[in-house]
Amino acid sequence: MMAMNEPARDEILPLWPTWVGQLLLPDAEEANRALIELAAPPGIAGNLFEVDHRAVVWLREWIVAAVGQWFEHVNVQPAPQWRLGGRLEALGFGHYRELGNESGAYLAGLYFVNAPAPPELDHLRSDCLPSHVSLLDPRVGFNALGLEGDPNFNESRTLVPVAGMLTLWPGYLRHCSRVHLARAPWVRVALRIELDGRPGTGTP
Amino acid sequence: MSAAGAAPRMAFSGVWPTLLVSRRLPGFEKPTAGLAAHILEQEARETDYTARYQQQSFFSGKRPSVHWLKDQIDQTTTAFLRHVGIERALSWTLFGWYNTNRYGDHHAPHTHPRAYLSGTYYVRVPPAPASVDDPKARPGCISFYDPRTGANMITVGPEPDAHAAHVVCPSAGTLMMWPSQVQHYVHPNLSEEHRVTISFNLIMDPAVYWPVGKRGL
Repeated sequence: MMAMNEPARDEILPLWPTWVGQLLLPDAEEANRALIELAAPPGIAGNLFEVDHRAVVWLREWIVAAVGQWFEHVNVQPAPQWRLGGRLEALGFGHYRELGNESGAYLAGLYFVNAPAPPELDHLRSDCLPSHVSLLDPRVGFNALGLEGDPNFNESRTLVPVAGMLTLWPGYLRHCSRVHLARAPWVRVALRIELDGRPGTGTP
Repeated sequence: MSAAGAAPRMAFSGVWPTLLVSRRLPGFEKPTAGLAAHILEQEARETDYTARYQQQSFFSGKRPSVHWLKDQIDQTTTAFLRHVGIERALSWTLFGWYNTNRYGDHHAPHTHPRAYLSGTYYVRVPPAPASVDDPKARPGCISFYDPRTGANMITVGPEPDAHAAHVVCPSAGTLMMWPSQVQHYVHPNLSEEHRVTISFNLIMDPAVYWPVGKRGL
């Protein structure tokens, strides 16, 4: 198709936003209590979603709904088949997760089983934000000449964990979990959504 | 403990958009004719001036058409800054140059380091000739590339992340501006008519970043 010169429209087009989806799961208290019990030592090794447990089934159902909404939001219909991986984590005092992404995953995310307890230190700087999750702008270096107020200035978006909150983001997006500084464990499920079958084929 | 059938909806936030400004300048015909005449005069005096663009100082010209374009760029910049929520007064400097693309001329993918915004005003954009038989050709158009390199690597196809290039085929009278970090490519001109544009870098004055009183070690 040959290109045609386009009459200009007066617009400011927001190209390539990085989508982050958040869903606060209703009636999560009972499942969260069960997941906290599962996270207690010895915990669950491997994929949480291979565990036959009512709370795990409940969480899986919500993730299925959320991923379906994601594909709807980005105009991928019908949604491709995908598989779910989950790692149940209980971060203890001084634990953190450094910057990384989920190589090979279409989506990644976290489900917050509990809200982390406040830090048990009183000397922290105001910018330390313990037990928070930071997402980093994938346009590395874009903030170099950013002006406070423009969408390039803040290279990170920091999430405040809320019990029952399910958050998804693209698998390539780098994120980190700030250090947890409370004795009560910070329980979450780290998620990987991988496409199943050949990309671009709709349904495998 | 069961997931409800009528599920609540996930809230989506589109963070870190890359903003592309497009504006058709009102009353562009007369000043654009003046700009074209000015550029033709310079072309007659200089050779390869587009390649030596850093030697140009387009906006130092005293012609009314040059002033008109500079005013339009300044106004558009102010509107852009308001759009993103910046109301405070800022100061900047514009560095401009013209480009003449003859048949086959193009601009390889590049960025504009050390500038806040870059842009182009389209003076003359010849239509693609019917003789072009490459269905993938976009002669004279400009492509902008997703700065999230690799974001399209695991995509299904219809979603926006799958499309790493955004192609625009502007017409004369259009002003486009974008963050200077965005890589872009100007496709070859495949017309015997010249494609004429004026490009610029908008550089914020240093005090914008480090206001007086906050400088120093």
